[in-house]
Amino acid sequence: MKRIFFFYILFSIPILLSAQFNNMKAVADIPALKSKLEQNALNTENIRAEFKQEKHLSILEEVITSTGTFLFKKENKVRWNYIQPFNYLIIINGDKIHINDEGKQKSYDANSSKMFGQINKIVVGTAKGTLFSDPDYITQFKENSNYYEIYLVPKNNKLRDYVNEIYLYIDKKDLTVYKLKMVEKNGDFTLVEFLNKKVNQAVQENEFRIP
Amino acid sequence: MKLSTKLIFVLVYTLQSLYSLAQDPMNIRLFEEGENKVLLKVSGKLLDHNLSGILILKQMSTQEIRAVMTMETGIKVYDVSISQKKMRLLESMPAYKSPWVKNILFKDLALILHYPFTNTQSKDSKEFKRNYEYSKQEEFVYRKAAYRGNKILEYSLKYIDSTGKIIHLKHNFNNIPYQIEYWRIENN
Repeated sequence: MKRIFFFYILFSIPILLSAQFNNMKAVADIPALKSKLEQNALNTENIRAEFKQEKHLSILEEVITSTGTFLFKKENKVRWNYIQPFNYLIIINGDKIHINDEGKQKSYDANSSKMFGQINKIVVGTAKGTLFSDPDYITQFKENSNYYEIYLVPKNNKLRDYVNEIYLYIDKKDLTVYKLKMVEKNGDFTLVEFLNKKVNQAVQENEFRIP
Repeated sequence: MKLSTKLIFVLVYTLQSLYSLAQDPMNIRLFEEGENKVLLKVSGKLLDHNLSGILILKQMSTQEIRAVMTMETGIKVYDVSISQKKMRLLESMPAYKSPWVKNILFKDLALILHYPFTNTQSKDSKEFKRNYEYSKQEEFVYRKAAYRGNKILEYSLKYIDSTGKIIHLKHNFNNIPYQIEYWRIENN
């Protein structure tokens, strides 16, 4: 009985998740869509949002939820601030990554670690909505009446040790990323939903200051 | 029932309770009663590498506990199956595929979860050839030390609340540049 319940949970999560992304069909004119997204990225100076992150693990019936705030500024500046269940801040400023883990601070060169380099690429590419143009990924484009779905598979096997598949859901209303889903090899996945987005509002440079 | 009989009954019951508490002075626990999982915030350092995230420990059956750590961003760090006889790395980031790093991880997890993990004294499976000993350091602080012979190899300081629930763990490895701490995450 437990096993049946486990499989029910395992398979119902993607079904529930896909409910709002149903009726997806292949995008007919991919070059036109790419051009539209790239043009939008050019016009986007910054994005401020709240986020809700869910970690779905096959061993847990429950979802692990984190929340916080997200800030992106052109070209490569990101401030990702986890507030719940604990404080954790990631600042990406160009090639520098700074982490403040409840007072413990550490700065890295993004190029010093392949892992940080890839995380940097995914986060900035997601914020810009231009991860699809990265040659390190195989991409597919789908859409329904509300969203574009961009499906990305890393070409590199080592990168697939971290993330096997990525789904970017882009809101057709403002062409910003609405949801990001990162799926691991065993099917466990992380879902990040961006809420209350504000585009091209005032952003202070010191929000990305690395001490 | 007479009052004196009642008083004798209460006295005997109280003495029995005190005796059983004395017999089991280390009623410390990681899993809450009726719960089969615990979430811990992780913050540590191996050589120059910082590691942090969330560790999920789940009792899958009487024979197996799974330890899954993820980074704050959700990316999985490792997934380990722990049984009484051995530990198996099911999945991990490439760094944990190094036997040296993997062994440190297993010794670290053994400090948290070694079967039976709250006995006063226990012996490891043959994996690490260690004996473990619990001792009380001060009120609400216990130490679980891993010994080979008389030498302490690594130890865990376990901070508990007034009910015996572990709320914080601080691990120290004497000969390895590795320090790590865990804090219980409540109500996620």
